[in-house]
Amino acid sequence: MKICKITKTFALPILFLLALGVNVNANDSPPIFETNSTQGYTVKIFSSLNPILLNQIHEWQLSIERNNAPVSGASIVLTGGMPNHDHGLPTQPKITSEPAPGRYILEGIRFHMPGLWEIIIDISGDGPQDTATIEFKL
Amino acid sequence: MRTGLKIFLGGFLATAGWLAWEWVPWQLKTDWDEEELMLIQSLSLDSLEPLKLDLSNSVAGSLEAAEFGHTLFFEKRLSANQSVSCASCHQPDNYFTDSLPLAMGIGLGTRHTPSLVGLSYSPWYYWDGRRDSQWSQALAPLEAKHEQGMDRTSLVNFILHDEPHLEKYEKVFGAISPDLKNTDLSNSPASPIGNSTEKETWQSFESKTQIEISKIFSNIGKALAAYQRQLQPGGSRFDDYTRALQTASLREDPKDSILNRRERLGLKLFLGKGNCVDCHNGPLFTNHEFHNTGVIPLPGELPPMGRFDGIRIAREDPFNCFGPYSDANPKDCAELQFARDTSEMVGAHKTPTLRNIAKTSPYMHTGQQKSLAEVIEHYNEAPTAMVSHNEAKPLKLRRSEMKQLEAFLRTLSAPPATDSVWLNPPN
Repeated sequence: MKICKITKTFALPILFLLALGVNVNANDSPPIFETNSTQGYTVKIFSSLNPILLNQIHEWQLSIERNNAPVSGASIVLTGGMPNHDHGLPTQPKITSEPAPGRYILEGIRFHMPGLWEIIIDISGDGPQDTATIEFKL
Repeated sequence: MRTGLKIFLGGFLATAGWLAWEWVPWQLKTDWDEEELMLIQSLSLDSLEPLKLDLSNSVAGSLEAAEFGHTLFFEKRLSANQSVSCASCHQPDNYFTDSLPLAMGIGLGTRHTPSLVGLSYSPWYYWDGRRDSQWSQALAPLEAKHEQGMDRTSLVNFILHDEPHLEKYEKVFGAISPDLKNTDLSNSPASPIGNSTEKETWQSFESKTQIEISKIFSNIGKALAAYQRQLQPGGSRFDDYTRALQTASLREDPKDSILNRRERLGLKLFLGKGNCVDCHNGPLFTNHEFHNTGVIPLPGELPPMGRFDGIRIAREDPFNCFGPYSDANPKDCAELQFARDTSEMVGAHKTPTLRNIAKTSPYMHTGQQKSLAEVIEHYNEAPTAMVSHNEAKPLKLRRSEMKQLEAFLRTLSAPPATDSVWLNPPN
């Protein structure tokens, strides 16, 4: 199993926008996270809430490609938490649909504390199994 | 020098050093960096978004429903002994709490009464989150034997035969069916969650009657929720300070202005070393989530399972967002649908708001801590949890810092930003 890790820190703009509540259509916005795994997967995450605000449940759209082709019909499981606080996500987000090949809707994601978060995305399907880990600070 | 004198001087210096370490406020700087300033503004009431509609309650934003709920909130006849109303525990003069460790209705309750001010922003109700809306929460005390102790049918029968209440009800929710109005329920205490006799009587009703009664019952909760949405927090000294901070001169001004130096040092600890803002974040000083912070249960009691049980109860509640009495589309029930239910939730209780915290003692889910000083001491020690694990870590605050933190918490009090008409019984 390969692990791909990206770290992004954008605490200041997110803290500033805690109060502002900006909703952006995922299809019109650049991904909030993007990474290329060593197994050849490109994972892009688009958020219905951009930037991410604390304490607001929202949706993500995951775009998954391999060798420049969408990865369709894969089993995607997203988990995560705060490594410094020894707890997981406050919700149990799930992939609920794949509206287009390689495009997965993840519902029920929410973050409830400022600090370092870790998101783990397990991908399994016709291609090799892979895990992408994203770290970011809210 | 004599040995005795050496021991005396050594002891004196050690004691003086310890006292200085604990009590002298060494931290002198109270200016703010950019991250602190943004955090401070995120806590301001000015950052509070307008209250969203509760899609499971179609009358949540209705003034007529709020007025009906207002009368119900203070109505003692909605109790088995005609002497307990919602306002008996949620007292307007006490920020809608009761100053007691455990709620006292018809009998002694098992949980501390939380404040209702600003509570309508929460997606979860009860310390363990066993209800997913304010209206479904409002129903439970009406039928709880130690609170108002009514049965569902007698409660509906009261509304049906009390002309002022019936008029208000029908104005908000439309006419009640003539069939139900003509049914004599006066000698039929009945409820699906009552005692065995009440359950038997309930089972003897036709399904249609059961649904009609439960529908009226649920509407009573919806009116009560519409009223409670009027109870919103007012601006405190802290909020005045956040506004004043937006001027560059005050950012650099170390002198006492709106918050004194001790309170500002407490705010710095709140944002930093105290880790308080991890959970007490946003303008209501709560993330509306559930955490195990190692709170010791009352003597002789086992530690409660908290949110682990609460989410299971919420999922089985017929009055939840997915239930037949909810006005929501299932797609609007994301909080319930995706709620976490794993073992991490064992012993976890809801983060309460810190607004008006100095006015709403005692503290914790069973009121086991009497003062803010005790609460801060608890978090400073972060004891091992009796079930699962304590998410909090020891803070290692000095005595002077604990006093500073307490001083800051005392700046969060203000009367509700609510028209006084809502704070008194209706005429």
